Amino acid sequence: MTDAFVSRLARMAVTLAIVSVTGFLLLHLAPGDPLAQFALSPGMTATQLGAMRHQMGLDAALPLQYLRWLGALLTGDWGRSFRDHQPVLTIILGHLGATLELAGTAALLAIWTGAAAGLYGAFRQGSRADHLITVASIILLSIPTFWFGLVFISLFSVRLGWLPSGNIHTVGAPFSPADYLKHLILPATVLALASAATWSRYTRNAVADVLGQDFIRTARAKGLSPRKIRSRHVLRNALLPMITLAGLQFPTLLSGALVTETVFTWPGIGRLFLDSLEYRDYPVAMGILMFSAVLATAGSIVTDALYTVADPRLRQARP
Amino acid sequence: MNTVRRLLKIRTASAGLVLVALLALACVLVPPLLPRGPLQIDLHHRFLPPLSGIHPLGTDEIGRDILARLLAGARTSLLIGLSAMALSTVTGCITGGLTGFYGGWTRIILMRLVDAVLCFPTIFLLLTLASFGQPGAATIIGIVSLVAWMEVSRVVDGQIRALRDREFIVAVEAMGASATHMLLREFLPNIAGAIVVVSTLNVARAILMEAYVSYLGNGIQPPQPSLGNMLNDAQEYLRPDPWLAILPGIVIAIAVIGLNFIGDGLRTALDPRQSNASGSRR
Repeated sequence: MTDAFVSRLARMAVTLAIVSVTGFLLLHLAPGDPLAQFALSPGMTATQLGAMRHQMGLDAALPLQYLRWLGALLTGDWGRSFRDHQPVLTIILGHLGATLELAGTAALLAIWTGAAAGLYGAFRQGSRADHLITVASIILLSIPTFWFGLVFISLFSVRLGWLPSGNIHTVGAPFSPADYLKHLILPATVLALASAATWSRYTRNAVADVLGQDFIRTARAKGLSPRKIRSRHVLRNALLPMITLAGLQFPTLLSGALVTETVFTWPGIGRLFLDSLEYRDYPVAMGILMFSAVLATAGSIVTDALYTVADPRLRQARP
Repeated sequence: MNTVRRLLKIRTASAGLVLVALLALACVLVPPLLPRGPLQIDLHHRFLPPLSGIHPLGTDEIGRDILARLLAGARTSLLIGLSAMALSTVTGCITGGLTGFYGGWTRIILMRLVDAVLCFPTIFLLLTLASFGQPGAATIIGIVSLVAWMEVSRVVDGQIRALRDREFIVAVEAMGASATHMLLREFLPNIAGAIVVVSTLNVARAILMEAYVSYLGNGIQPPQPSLGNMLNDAQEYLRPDPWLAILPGIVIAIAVIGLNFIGDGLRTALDPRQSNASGSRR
């Protein structure tokens, strides 16, 4: 058990190292200059620009820049934004709440509706409802998220005027929970749509797989009620693949939020990331990249831990 | 032949084939019949609703014919999807074939790399890679294939490793078959089905990726129409004209739903477990 854990941690470290090197190279080698915004301001001389470049450490060789960045990161210093000189960690944490609220709400919506639809389909395989759910899931997965965003805005905000089309609360108004909820409904629904479809497909297949196994037939043969078979035997065994999906979906919620946040001008990590890419704000972009990579890898470790909770067979020491 | 018949029996799959075929045909046959080209501006007839005069689907903010633009965009999307699929399938088959067959260090390195790349948000990869080249169809094909080949590679690698210990492979190897013979004559026919499925789904994914990149402004550049950048333009005109946003989405949906249906149907049709009644589990 501990051996497995240590080797997992080692693999996580390797993955993170590759992510940091690739991300760093991609960002720095891509055309564009973080100083371009300053070069436009009147009275800026080439000497001043050179001094700024030196101060930001951008005149050093790329490997050296990487090592400096990595060294600072390992001592807990995430660097400062090129744009407003705020510490990167402060900026990220400042935007994290909004994204977690949006992505968390969306995940809850998606898991409940998706899993319910999948279970329904699996227990009534081949029925009209089952086909309908399968087809609807594929359709939901085939349409880009931002299109739903645009159509929902055009319908519920522009046409009907029921819900606001963007932002996290009404500008200038004092904070109120009702106002906040109103702003949350559209983006959370849009973000939930595609992942609800994934959940429904996945749940259906997982449950259908379990239903086809011998021990279910045995349970039925010894006269257990269908209700008991479902809750005790089927659900418990279908839980494993669903835990895997939860781990896999974790990082995609963040990148899905990226587009949704853009459409609904939601002040979260996703928009911060797109802005930092546009302004070549390397420290912030790298910070978010590492942050999401750590979440993704940690997600898979947590998944493994949950596995042992859900599956008693894995609780004994592995050979 | 058997597979085709099984595929056509699946209702959603044949519906998918019809959708994609109709869309492809429309992209080729309809544009020459339209009175206006996709780039022709007509400031006297802006924001016309669908079904108005010579514009079957209306006009956009500077009076360009929407149907002409949609079809031009769809053609670009299909071309990008097919080319990116071809590129990523070839790359994925070669890398996955080599790592699955030879294993060893190359495999460990490649799989670590794939793991790491899967850690990146796809949009980040698409946007940063897009900034390296001139924005346009060729660049999008390049970056989409760069992102998509890994999945093919994983599938091929996994399938080959699953087949390695089967009796017929061991037998062929014992008879002294060369690596080329084994890969092309023994493995390839056995995993072709899996490759076809991933590749079909990859065409759909490439079309979606184009839409995302162009929507965020780094893809096909105006005035050249693409389904993604039409949606970006439409965002400003949701109030006067929601059609501008609805129509490109429907075309994307037709293409991607069609391809996903086909891919899904292929998976079922090619699965030997599904071919006859239950019982023959292997």
